[in-house]
Amino acid sequence: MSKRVELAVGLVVALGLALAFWWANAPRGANPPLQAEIPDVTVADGAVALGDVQLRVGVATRPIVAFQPVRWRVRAEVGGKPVGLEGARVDFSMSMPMGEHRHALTLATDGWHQADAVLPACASGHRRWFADVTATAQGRPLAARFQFDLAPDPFSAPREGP
Amino acid sequence: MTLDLLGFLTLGLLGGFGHCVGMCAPFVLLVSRRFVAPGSARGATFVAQGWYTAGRLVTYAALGALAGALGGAVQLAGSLVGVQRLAQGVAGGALIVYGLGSLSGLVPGLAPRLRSGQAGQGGPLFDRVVGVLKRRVPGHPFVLGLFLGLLPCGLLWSAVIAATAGGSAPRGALALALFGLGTAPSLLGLSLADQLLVRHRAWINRLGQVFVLAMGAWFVWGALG
Repeated sequence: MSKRVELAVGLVVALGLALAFWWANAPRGANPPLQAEIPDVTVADGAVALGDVQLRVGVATRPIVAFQPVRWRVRAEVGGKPVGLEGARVDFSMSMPMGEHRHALTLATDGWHQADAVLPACASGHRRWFADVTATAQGRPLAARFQFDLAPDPFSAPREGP
Repeated sequence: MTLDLLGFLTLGLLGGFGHCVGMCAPFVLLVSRRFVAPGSARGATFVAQGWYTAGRLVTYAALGALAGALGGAVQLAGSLVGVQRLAQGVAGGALIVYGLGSLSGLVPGLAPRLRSGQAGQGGPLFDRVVGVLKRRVPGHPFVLGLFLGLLPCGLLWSAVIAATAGGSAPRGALALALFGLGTAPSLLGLSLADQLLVRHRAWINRLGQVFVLAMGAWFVWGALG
């Protein structure tokens, strides 16, 4: 292979890798539109107003740690009363590609939907994650983003909750 | 999160192009430079990368078997945290040494000694350190792959977490082996690009060496932090 051909093939391979990198990191699925403020649920539950619907997200066990199951709870309210959710799920993501962490939320009590999720720790030290909640309420699609930080040390942090 | 076996392969494939290409690139370059002599046949690089990948697969499969057997990620992650940190530090150190060794050609007076193969046999302290540390890198890419499979990696842990749902060691091993296999195309592609584009173009090669050095420092920093 001549040097020129070698260079051309090398450039094509490098370009292909760059395109694949871009494609693999491109957002997929029904990502919620970015809100003006993303509620932080690291230390307390949070809520987002989507029209007349209030979408609440709660965490049953804190601190939120890597490698251990954390119970996530979601409830939609109108006028303080729960409304039914269909197809509710939560997608976890962070700045580093961590694969797909998608969990279906199942109906529990008092209108709360819940899912147990185990998240990995990022070797780069990044601890900020996003929880994208999507569901349908009263025939209307809902989507909201929440954020949280994993506890620095997953193995020594004392946990509260069930 | 539950995944079928095809899901593990897909996770590796997508993650390979979206994650490993960046994080594991310095190790791909390291394997090519450590185990393939300049001027070797084109296939030699792929043989070395194949052995390296096989080593990683074995380690991943072992992690998957443990995860499947334990049924939970926390015990496994907890017991491996020290080992992974050590692996991260050692791997970062090796990258720094290779980065410095490669870039030492830019320092007048140092390059001739390194080229004549006298590293570690006296001379400046830097030569000696490079020579000693070079010998610490495993002598076969398979062994290097076994070791580097232990590097802490969030994507790998995502696969391990998913494997815990499988409930059995054989299934966990198979799942993680498929995950590792899925990461191979991106890294082999990177190796091909390295061979065709980087190694024979001096300035791109220098950029690659600086990248290896920077990633090494980043890995060591992470291991200490």
